[in-house]
Amino acid sequence: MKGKQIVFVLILIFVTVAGLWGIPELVKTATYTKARYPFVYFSSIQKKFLMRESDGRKEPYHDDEGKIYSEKEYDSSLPLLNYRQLTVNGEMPEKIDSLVLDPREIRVKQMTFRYSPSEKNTPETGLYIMYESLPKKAKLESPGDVFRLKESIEFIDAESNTVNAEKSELFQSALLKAGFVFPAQWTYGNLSIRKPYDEGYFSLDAEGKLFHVKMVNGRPYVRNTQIALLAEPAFFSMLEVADKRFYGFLFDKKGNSYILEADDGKYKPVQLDIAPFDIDRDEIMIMGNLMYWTVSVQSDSGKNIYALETESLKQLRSTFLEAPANRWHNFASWLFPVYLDFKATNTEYIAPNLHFTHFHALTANLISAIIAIFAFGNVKMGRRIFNSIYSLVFGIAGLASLFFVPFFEKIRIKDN
Amino acid sequence: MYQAIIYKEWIKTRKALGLTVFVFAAAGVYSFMKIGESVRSSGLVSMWETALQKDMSMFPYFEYLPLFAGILLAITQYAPELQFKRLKLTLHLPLPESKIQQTMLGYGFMAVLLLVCLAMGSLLCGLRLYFPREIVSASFWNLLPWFLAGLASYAITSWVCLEPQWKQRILNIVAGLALLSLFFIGAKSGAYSPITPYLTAFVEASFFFSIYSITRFKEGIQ
Repeated sequence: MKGKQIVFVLILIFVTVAGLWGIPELVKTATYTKARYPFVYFSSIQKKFLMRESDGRKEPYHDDEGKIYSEKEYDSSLPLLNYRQLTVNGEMPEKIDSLVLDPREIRVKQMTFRYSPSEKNTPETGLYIMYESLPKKAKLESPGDVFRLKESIEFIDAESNTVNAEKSELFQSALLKAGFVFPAQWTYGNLSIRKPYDEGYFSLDAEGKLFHVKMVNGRPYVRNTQIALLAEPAFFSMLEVADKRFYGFLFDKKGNSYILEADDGKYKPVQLDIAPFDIDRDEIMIMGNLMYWTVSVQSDSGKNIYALETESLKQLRSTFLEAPANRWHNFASWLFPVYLDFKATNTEYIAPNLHFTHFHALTANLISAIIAIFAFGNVKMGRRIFNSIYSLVFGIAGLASLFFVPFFEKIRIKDN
Repeated sequence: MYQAIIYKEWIKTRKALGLTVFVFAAAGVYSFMKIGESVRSSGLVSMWETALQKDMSMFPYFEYLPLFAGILLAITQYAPELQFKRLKLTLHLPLPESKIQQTMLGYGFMAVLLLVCLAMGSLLCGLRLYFPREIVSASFWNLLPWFLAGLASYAITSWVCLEPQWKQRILNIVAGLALLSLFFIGAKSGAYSPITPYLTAFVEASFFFSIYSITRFKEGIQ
């Protein structure tokens, strides 16, 4: 049979690929545990990070210096987090430092923000919904059309499934008049109707200028934000905060983080005083209150935690929590010097990702190579050498695939 | 002779093909009935918003249909060949063996390809009546891995069916399932775009897998 050896190699390669992915995936399913970090919040009383462990230990409350707290001490050390409970118990302080506490102000200044790289690395449809930013009723209403913003802006009427030429022209003219250069690089906003208010979208034009686009009283509102960052904007995440202090979080291509403040019709980026992070790999979580923000940046190696002063976003304190040991990583570093996966946690895309673990996993490849010399019965020396080298290179997956795809030699091939 | 082989394959597979076409058509009609029901009950605007915000799959019934269609077609095409080793007779027809194999595999491949292309074309054209091109494109990306899985499942089932030895057949099934599972990783529409070239290359390569099984069959492996 012509090409039979090519077909053999072809099948062997695909089965090896399946093994490089499937075998580690099985081991991962059996051993993986999600990294469990303590809950960390900056205490406005102690001026230290307070932590609550969730691993079932007897004394779960402590601070970043190791001092143990009782549950009651812990709760009362975080009055801006536990204000409802402390108010009910009659234990809420009237002021912290010299700041008099107003319950309404505590509530509106409280916010939580999370960013995961999969929000950025995700397929987009390229369609958005433009809500009325000054609705006549208390809640937002569905506009009846959607828009695309790439080569131009076009509104598509949902009922007729056709472009609304008049509205499209209105917004297109407004964008061009404001200096927007097409095509748009990206557009980010909150498509959900379940939000307290609407601030439209932020869009980066072809020249790297950031524009704010929304609809006010049925008319386009387009502003060039004219902001200057340390690097080109990479991602914007809209956040409708109760006090309307800012529009959302902006990250630049060098991993610097900013809030985009609403400053009397102007736009002012205020940089978070934290180390740049990898927006394509690391996660960020921010819990803010009247006085301080607790910012956690989680990477593979651990969690950097910062306390920032709410008004200036200047850093007051920081700490680092090392990533807890994971059984899967231990297994992988001994069994698979290289493995393949298709669904990484930092992206929504399915793509082949090759991971390199540790050189000492080559021991597993060496053992596979030795097994391969003897495990395939009475075959020629040339085949033994091939089996051994193949297993040395591809490790356990290579050895397994040789079992799955036997040589033609074993079946006495006679070429046609 | 080619026509005779194709006719033989048609005789073997026509009922399975008819059943598959019927099930695809029924699933397509039902999908549009469900879309129509949603449009009537909550309106097109709401449907558009749901499609945008929740990445709703318009054709969830098609997830495994192409996979089963490929398996069914390959079984009906090759299981009879393995009964009483009729494949030996087929391979003795007055044509080079490689041409016979290519014709048989080509017939099955073209049948599955035609089926999935027609299904994909009909579904997306129908969807375009209701939705803008971006949502139709998202549906295309949603359906593509499932439809590629139909082609791959045909090739892998052929590889399994033509394998003469049961032990090896089971090993082929295990490897085949691992490879086919790559087409069913839960993900957003469009998430498969980076891996699609690799999956397409795999689908193309997998059509040669049967040569391995036929070679083993010819060599008298039991």
